[in-house]
Amino acid sequence: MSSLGRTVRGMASRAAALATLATLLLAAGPAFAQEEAPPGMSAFAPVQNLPPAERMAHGALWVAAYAVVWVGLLLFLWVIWRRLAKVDEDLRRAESRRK
Amino acid sequence: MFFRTALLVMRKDLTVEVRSREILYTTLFFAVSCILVFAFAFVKEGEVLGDAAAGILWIAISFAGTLALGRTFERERHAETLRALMLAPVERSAIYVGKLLGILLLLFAAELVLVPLVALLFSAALFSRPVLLVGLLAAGTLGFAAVGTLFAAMLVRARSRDVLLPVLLYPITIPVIIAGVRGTALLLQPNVDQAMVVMWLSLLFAFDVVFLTLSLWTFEPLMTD
Amino acid sequence: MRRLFGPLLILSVILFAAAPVLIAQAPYEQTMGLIQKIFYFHVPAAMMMMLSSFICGIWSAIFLLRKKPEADRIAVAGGEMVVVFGLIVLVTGPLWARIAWGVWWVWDVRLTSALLLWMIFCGYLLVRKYGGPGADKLGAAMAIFGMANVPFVYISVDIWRTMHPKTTVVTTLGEGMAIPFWFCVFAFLVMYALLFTARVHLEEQRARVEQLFLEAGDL
Repeated sequence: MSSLGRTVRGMASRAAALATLATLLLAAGPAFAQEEAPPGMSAFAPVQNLPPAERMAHGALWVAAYAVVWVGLLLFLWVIWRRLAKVDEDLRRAESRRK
Repeated sequence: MFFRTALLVMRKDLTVEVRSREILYTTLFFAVSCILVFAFAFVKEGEVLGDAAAGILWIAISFAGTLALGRTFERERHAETLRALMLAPVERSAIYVGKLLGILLLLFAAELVLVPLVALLFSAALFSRPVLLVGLLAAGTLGFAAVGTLFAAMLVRARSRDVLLPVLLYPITIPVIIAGVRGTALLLQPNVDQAMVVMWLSLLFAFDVVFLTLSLWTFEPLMTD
Repeated sequence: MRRLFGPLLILSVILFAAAPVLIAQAPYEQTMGLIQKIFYFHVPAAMMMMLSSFICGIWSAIFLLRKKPEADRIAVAGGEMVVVFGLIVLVTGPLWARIAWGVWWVWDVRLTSALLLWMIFCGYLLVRKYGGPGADKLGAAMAIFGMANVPFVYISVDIWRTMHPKTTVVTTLGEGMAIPFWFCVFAFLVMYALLFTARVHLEEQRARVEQLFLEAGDL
């Protein structure tokens, strides 16, 4: 690697940092507050005494989401387990054949 | 030395291309047919649907780019010349820059035809801010081609390169295409929101710099066996 | 490595069983009620997704520069976990959005960029599986570019005015919400460690099988 190539890369990475920074600064400017969407929330407001009827609203979706997490992760674990069992089997066979 | 090597590689590619003009003609033909298909789909009774023109322009550019990338490196593979290039006692990254410059020139040449065509068929006011338009096109094409050249070069040795190039290239370059589309769509509005266009443009530049840096940095280890 | 599986499995099952209890006791959010509680595993899953992208990207870079096959095995495991945790993020998110926004999906910057990140790593797995010889390097390059997108996904909500809640939601949590949240993050981390060690172990065993077959071929 010649020194020029290194210089070019060095320049490129410095320029990358600068450009990213410039983009951030530019985009953070108030000039770019944009478009039709209502702003996303920036903090959650907890309440203590929500009426019970509202408490359980859309419970099914919440349960579905939690189930997706549980089932998804366990399924992935099970898949890894099965693949591992298969590979271990192959390993045993290969080792016995070598002997 | 670095830039001379890059220019030499680019001149080699251009000389081959100027003799046959194969890639330019086939790519252009393909891109123009794409635009025509979209024109049939999206222009109804002289009315264009929404910002369709901006999206169609960038789709045509990215399809044409994929085709050109594939063909350029297919030519190298066919003649086994990429191996010769890699054996040459020059810097690998200079070869990358040379190939990139060649593809950029090719795509800019194609855009010279595509942009007026889209403006005509979709009666889009693309030329209301020529400087911004040129900036968006240049930055977008550079970002797309920077990643494309890297992956197309790597794929020369792969088995299913025709399928893999879009699979690799599109997810990574979609941010660039989106920024290009949104920026161009703003130019089509009656009152151009210049600040927003500049925002998309600077985003494109940021992507260009990140993609170019990563490509220059990884080209050498990727092309070494 | 195998010795770690048992304890990690038991610990993560306990943590995941306890999580709903803690979440149930957390205060309700003013406007969203119960549905806001999806947040307690949507966000940790997103954190794991980003962590995984960095693991995959960094170890891909190490593999490219140092040519160490061990690094590649870690990168593959990381890449697959991006897709798994990304799927959780992309499923739980719309379930919340259906109530909070009234639609399953909007094409704003945060959602689009998160989907893209997920797609890049799906592409990564496709390349690894069907790329043939040299796929490891191709995948490595893709992972590095994928990792470069992560900061963009993270800051997108704070830069653009999107509908997605901002990153400050996490740092401004009241005490009642912060404890269950960080508990869930910890549970996801333990689960991540379990899945990750198992996945890397699988890749190591595969390499051993391959090695044995290569040796057998030489004889």
